[in-house]
Amino acid sequence: MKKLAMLAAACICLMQISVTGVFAEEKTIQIGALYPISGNLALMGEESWRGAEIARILRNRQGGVAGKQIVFRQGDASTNSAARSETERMIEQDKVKAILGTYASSRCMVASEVAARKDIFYFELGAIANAITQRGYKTVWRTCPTSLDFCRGQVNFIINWLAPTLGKKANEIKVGIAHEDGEYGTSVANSFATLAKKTGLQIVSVEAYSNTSNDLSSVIFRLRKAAPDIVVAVSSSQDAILLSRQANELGLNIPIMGTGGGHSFQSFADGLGPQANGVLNVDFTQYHVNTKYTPGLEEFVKLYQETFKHFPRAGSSLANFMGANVIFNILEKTGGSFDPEKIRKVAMAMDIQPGHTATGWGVKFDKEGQNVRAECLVTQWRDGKLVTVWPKKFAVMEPILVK
Amino acid sequence: MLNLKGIDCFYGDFQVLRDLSLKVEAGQIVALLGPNAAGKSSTLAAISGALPYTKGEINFCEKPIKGIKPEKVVDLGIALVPEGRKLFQTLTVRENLELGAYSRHAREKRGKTLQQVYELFPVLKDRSSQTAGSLSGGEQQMCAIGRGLMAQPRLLMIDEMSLGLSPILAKQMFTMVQEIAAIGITIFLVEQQVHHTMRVADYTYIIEKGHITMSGPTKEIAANEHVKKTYLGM
Amino acid sequence: MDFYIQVLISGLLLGGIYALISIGLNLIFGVVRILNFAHGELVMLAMYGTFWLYKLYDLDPYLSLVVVLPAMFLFGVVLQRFILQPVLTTSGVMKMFTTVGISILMQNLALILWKGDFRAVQTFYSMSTIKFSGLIISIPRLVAFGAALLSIILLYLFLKYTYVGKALRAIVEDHATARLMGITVERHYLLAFGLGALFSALGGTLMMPFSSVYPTIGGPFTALAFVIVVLGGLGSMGGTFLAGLFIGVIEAFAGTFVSPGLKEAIYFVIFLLVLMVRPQGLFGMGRGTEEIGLK
Repeated sequence: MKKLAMLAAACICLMQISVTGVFAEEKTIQIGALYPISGNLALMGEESWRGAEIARILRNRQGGVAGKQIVFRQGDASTNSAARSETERMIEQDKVKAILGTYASSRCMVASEVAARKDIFYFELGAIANAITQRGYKTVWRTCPTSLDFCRGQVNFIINWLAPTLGKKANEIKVGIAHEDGEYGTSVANSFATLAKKTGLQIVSVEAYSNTSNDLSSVIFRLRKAAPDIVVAVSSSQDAILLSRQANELGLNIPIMGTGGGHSFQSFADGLGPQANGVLNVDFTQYHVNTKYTPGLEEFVKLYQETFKHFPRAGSSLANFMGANVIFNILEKTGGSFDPEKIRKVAMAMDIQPGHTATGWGVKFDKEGQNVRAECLVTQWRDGKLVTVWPKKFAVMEPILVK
Repeated sequence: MLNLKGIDCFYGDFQVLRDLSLKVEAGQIVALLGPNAAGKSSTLAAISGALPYTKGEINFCEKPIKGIKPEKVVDLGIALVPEGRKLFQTLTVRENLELGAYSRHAREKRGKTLQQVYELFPVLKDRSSQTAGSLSGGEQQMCAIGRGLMAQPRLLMIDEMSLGLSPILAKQMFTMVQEIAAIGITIFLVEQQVHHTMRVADYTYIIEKGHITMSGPTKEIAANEHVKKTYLGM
Repeated sequence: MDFYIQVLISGLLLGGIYALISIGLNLIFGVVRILNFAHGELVMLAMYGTFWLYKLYDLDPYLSLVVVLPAMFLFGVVLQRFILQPVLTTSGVMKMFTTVGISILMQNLALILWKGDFRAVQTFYSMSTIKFSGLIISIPRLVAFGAALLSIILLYLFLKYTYVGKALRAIVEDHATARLMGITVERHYLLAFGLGALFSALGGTLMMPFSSVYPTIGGPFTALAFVIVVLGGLGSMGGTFLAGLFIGVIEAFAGTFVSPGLKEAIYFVIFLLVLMVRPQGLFGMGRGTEEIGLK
């Protein structure tokens, strides 16, 4: 009897929740926000969410979208299967019509597929795997650069800055690659190798390693043997520190250029100390950048610091801020409607030149839903700060060559 | 000295001891005889605290010992030499003996006790730095009894001492038991080997199917027709 | 030739740390008969302890041992007394699940308390090296190796020559009989778990000068320690030390001459091959292995 009563009480509770849900829907715009906020990707997942959250707070202060306040329904993509079930839950129970996210490519691949099959919009603001927008799903859009854009940034820098600095021709430059062997590292490394070869750079060594490894001396030994002019590293987290430390320990005197991930964390510089100085990186737009070309960045940082009491930990929050704003702008123009045709029309008509968003990226979607005006900037760790050094118009410092 | 009253004991659903009562008087050698799986080892386990019993009580020197853990029972002065010797095979003979004196009251005097054990079993002194696993069967049994003595017990319980020993060795061991009893240690022998046991025991209990079926001074028991037929093969 | 020696040195230095972490697991398994799946999390906790002492009180990682080691010993004792002791008489699977639960709990607590960020300490000796005839040896790694060797010798002497150490060895062999000797088995479990945690903590802290810590760092250590303990033989401390070095060297050579990405896979293959030939491990006594399904 007691059990039955409890069951009944539970049912009533559930009903009330769904009733308030429906009620709330009428005066708000509900968007799913799916990020890994627990589990091993939680750090950057949460950082990414913060960017979207700041955009939401800011927009709501300015009156919201189409006169309605924006509400995020949270999902936790702690694992790939959680990404799937949380997406289903947000769609079935929270009745969201659009989802944004996700930071991690593997989570996005799973979640966006679930959403796309139910004709729910999926806006990716931070995951970079090329494949995300290459699967023919009409409702999957991405505002941030792809891994190919990362590689473009690196290759351009190597050809246009490194080669002349070393006094070499592009086809004389030897590049070594060290990458973590997960989906992220492997796909980025492959993109880079393909692109680099096309442009005539020599790839002399490609070293995959597990990012849970606590010793990368073998990677260093192999790179030392191959003797490249620069090492392009694709590290996901602490492996970035380990790589630099062991490179130093074992006398690998070759400049290292990261590819976002572990090389963008403040903890990279905090952990390495002076050793971090001069490590190059390519990533989403960071905070030490020419703000003339990134309108809105300073406002974002201010509100971020007010809300979270410290400086943003990585550029991913800024990228998500920018992306969320793009989505809000689209929804503003559709009058708050999630009608697929309307959204598509508005999105395809968007045409913002580079230098007019908080990340400095322009906005122009191709027919696959990819923002082709998103680009990656080259940064360099200088005295504990990740400063933008390339391309010139975004740069706040000249790059230096540290071996 | 030791008094078991109406013990019922179960292994799962299976009752191993039924209303078992027996007494061990101080200074005697008391034997518990019976066939395989009659409940002999269970009786010892119940006394040493390793096997909980549902009914009855056990008193040692007039004090109830129900619920006392095995590692504390040895503190009271009851030592058990388990069936199959259960020596610590990879430890040396000396280490095995030393560990026998781990209980609180025996620990301080372990150096002295060790010398007494060596006197009783000189072979153990010769073998002291060998691992227990490398000893012969007879030496192992000596080591096990020596280890029991290290606890400075008032009551020494020995489970199936003669198991796996040659008749000559077994005979020697029983003689040894008499020597131990002579220094004032009460002995409770649990055996299948009836002949030798009856030679040394003052008092004998017969256990069958978890129940004491017969008891009395050993001479009387030995004269009993049923015992003669079943156990002595006469 | 120098190159091979350099790789060998790298492998040995790494293996020393591995051995140190694994020896704690072996002690806990041998004495308490628990497969401690939260072992790596003990390493993680010690690393965080070292990090925070450095960050908040500017305490050098090596000096922080004075705080971290007793604290972790106590943590191990508390864990054993209040979480594992109650499930000790249940089935092996139940005990295993309990430690898996502890592992998940600790990971997530670390994540909540300290975020997913990876943390590293910076010391003046973090990058210091000894160079001679073309070889480079990292000083903090050498220190870690030396400390591993020393503490394993100390543990050996403790187990070999002290009364308590002998009692622990007796429990490893046969805890029921040990009880008959008056050995307070449960109390020795506390000691063994505390010591196990202490060794993991030592490994963790010694790694901090050249490594980083993050909430999920423990998992790979647990897996690695299992491989090493089984390979070296359950209950064999010397075996664990040699197996640790063996795995470190295999890892270094496989990583350098085959592929860095395959080094874990390679030592797992070697591990399986060794077990096929010698199920009791390289130096094992053969007992106890049945409890983890190897026999």
